[in-house]
Amino acid sequence: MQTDEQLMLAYVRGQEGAYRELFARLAPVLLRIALRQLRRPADAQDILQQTFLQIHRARFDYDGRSKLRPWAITILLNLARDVLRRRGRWLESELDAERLPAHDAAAGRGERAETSARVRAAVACLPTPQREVIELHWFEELSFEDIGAVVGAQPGTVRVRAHRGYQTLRKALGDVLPATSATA
Amino acid sequence: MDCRDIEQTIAEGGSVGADADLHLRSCEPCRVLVDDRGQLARALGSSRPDEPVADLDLLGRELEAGLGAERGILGRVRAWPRAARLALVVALLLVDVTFFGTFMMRRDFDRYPLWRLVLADGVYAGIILLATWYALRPLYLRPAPAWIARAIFAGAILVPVAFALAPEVPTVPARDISYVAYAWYCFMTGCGQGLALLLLAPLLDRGGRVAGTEPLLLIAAAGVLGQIGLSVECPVNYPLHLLTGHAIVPAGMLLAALWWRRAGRMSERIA
Repeated sequence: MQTDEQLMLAYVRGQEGAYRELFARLAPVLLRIALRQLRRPADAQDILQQTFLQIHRARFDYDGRSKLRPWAITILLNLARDVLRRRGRWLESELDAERLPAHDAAAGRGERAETSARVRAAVACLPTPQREVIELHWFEELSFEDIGAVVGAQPGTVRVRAHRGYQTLRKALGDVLPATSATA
Repeated sequence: MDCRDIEQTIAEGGSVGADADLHLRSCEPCRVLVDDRGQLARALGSSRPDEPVADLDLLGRELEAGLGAERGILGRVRAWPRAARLALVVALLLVDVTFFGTFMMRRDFDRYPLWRLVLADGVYAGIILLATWYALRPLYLRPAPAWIARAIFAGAILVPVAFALAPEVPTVPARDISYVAYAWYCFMTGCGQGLALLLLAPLLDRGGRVAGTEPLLLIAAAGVLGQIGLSVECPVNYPLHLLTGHAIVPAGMLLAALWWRRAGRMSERIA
């Protein structure tokens, strides 16, 4: 199976099918991130399409040396930042459960779902640099090195942010993780 | 072992062995997770959001339809590398100077110090290229530090003021000039030249940034472009005229853009 990077290079060479394959692979990941950033599904879907449009416009800039996923996520985060600026920052920290259908789906699964929702809410309350790192690492499975490429920081800095984020989460989730709070 | 191996092991309830010691010595986040007996790792690992509800096939089809519009000349030029698109701005600068130098050269050209003209236009060209370079920063790069944009805005507004306040070279008798009327004419001429750069913007800019500083950087570049043609054309060297007719162009265009953007946001919120 071709890697994302190979597919992108194939698209740059003119293979239309490669773009469709890339969309199928990256769209779910990018949509999840967009939804976490923007909260509103309509905006998230719009940003997803914008991201792929921008990938298309920047296709000749892509040389295959950098990983595609962080490259695409950086585009998405920049676009999302622009939307948030346009909306006004007051919405950035708003957690409107009605606008998170994917999260709602988990609501009916009892205690475990409740715990998951608490964990996600605690992550959402972290300062942006820590939140970005933890979400990309745990929810999108990016390595700290790849996250460094996305957020424009050295992997060491990314690790420091993760470390601080974990400590904050431990405190915030003390009652959700009782066994650990005794050891912490 | 790397971070992922350790996280996976402890999230599944396992414990890490001696082979993880080397990694744990240098990786603080992993140490927190291990010291935590994997509780936080398990909580995070089991809290991945569900797949969002969306018709990705439909979004993909809409995207493909949108890409069809990218096949024209606009789409092709926008796909050029940033340096190539910047070359278009250099070409515009050359056209601007050539046009004004050929058809509207200042009538005191033989008396006005050439070094002063070259210095002013050189500095203006530098600001234009720098502003455009940052305005066209690709979206796959993180935004540039805010101080760069601030420095460019300051340069675009203050450098023309500094040149206006430089010791005057009275090459044209003051009585020949109606300052106010001529200042208005110069202001409009400067804005007109700036408009040429803004007309080029759809070719230069790949879009996606509306609310950030990047579009304003392009406006600043357009305002400074107005200075170049004016310095080649206008023989009036009196500071009052230079301030009210020339140096005001970048600030005026930026203020107009800010007002336009604010009005747009207001109407968006009302809608």
